Amino acid sequence: MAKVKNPYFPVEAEILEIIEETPTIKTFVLRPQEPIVFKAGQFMELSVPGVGEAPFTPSSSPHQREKMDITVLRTGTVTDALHEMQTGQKLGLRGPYGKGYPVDKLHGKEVLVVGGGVGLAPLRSLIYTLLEDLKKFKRVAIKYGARTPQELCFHREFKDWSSRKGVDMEVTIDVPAPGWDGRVGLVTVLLENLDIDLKNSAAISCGPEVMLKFVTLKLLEEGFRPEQIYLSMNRNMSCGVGKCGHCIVGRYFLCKDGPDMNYADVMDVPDLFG
Amino acid sequence: MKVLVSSAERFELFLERIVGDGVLYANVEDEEGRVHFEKLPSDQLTRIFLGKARALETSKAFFFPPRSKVAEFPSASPEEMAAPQIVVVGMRACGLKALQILDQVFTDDIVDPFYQVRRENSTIITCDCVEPWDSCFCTEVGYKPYPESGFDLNLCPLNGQILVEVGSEKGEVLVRDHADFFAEPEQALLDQREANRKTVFQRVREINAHFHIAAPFQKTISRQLASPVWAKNGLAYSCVECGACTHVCPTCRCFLLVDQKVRDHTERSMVWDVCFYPGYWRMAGNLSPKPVLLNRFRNRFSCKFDYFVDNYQAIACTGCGRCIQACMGNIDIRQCLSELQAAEKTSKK
Repeated sequence: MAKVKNPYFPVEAEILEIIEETPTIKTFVLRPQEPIVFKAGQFMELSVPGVGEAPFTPSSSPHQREKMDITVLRTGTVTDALHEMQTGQKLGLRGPYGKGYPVDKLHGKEVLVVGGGVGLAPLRSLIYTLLEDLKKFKRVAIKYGARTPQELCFHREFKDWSSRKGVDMEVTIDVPAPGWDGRVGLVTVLLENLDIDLKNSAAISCGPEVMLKFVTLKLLEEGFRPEQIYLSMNRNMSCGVGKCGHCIVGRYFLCKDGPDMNYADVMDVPDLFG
Repeated sequence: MKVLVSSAERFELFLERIVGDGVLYANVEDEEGRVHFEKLPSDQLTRIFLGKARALETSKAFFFPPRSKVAEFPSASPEEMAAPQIVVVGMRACGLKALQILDQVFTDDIVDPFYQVRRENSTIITCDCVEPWDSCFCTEVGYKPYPESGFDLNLCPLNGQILVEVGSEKGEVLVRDHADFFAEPEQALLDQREANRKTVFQRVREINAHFHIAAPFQKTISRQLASPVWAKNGLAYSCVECGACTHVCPTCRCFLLVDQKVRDHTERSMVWDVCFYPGYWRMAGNLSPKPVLLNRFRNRFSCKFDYFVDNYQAIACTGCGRCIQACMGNIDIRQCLSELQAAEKTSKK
């Protein structure tokens, strides 16, 4: 009998609280049976009992050990079932997997954080990480876009983030809406004429593939070099441990080598953004 | 390495002893002359067939089954990994090479304990190829139709006698503990084995001469991704996305974890998956990085001949040719490689 850890077996976690972020996005505050230590950007495989598993990156601070927030857009079988769950119910967690955001490489730099829709969820974990150690970064510039004002995720925290010294935040919505007097247009409008030190900056982006594509093109146009751009890539990971093949992007396994990839490493991969 | 000789009858007795309470999977020949892997009870050992070449079925299924339970939760106690002792007889050099590739995938930094225990509990007895199939092309991807290392024992049938080469400590112990069944071979037999090996090697080369393919393939594949030979009436044209090629392939290892509700708990199974299926790539919101068949078709070549070389220092094709036999669209991987290498030559000019 071999006694090796079973990498496919989940740890039980209890739903402590459910926060409705938007009509389609909920944050599940979870308490795992045993504390799970993760770095911002690393992801979890979340099991809804009897339904299935899907990969999500925690949206909470890695420093918060006993609880973990996972913010989920309702969009398929697993997420439908998850959105129907109630506080007190149990689900499964495997992980953390992947390398996480290259926070060390951002030290001393102007950090551009670009999010789209529920893509702000993994970035929130990064933002907390940056906020907790702000002195190490020259500046944190957050650019966020959603379709409508109602779909802005974590709206309640924006004021707190942008009030911190060295942090600035801009938000846009896709099309004009009654009562909205902020910026209108896709998130790329916030990347035009960036007042940023191109020689000493890095951009980290998370959102749907099509958004990642246009954000990347825009950043290149604005003068960023491929090595300065990090993307939280999307694939439907299954095993999480570099075996099942679902998350390959060229020679890389997003579950092991990512999910945040340096654009310079993957720019020549076919079908990068679908 | 040490080579001994046995007779067919004595080797059967030896097998009966070493299988014991375990399970024996061995090559047998059917009425139409095809070779299969079959689970053989101890009273059917005379059916073991060591002629021709590799079986229709891939031996990967013994270690990486098409569907297997990998977790059950919630569960009160941690599971224990267990697998029966198995003896595999008749795996050929291509299957053994493929197994070494799967070993890397499943037991690199993060170990799949299910695969590992099945491997640990297995005895691998390979066999020289005697008469290759028309679909065999191991020589064209840099391999040989006889195994040189990595087996426990390797067999070479010669006129009612069997040469038995010892390839591992496990194999060494087996022949030492059953020394009565083996003798020192005469040099003439060893010479005959060498002669046979040369003949079969040449035969495989002749079968494939008209394809004009030559390893390595990595640069060709990575540089010809945009080549017109893939599209239109090209390589991907007759693919019907059935997944036969990946299922019979000894190195294709993609799988999906599938959860099912069983009474009050969840059972998680590992199920073979196929990169040709649109659903393989589907993400939340019905998005896909590869919605077009052509791109999925191309991926199989990139995966085998490009990405695997970077990640595991070997191409994930051992020239067994099962995909050629299995394809209902008559797609021949040799023809694909041939056309891509031709395109590469033209583009260099």
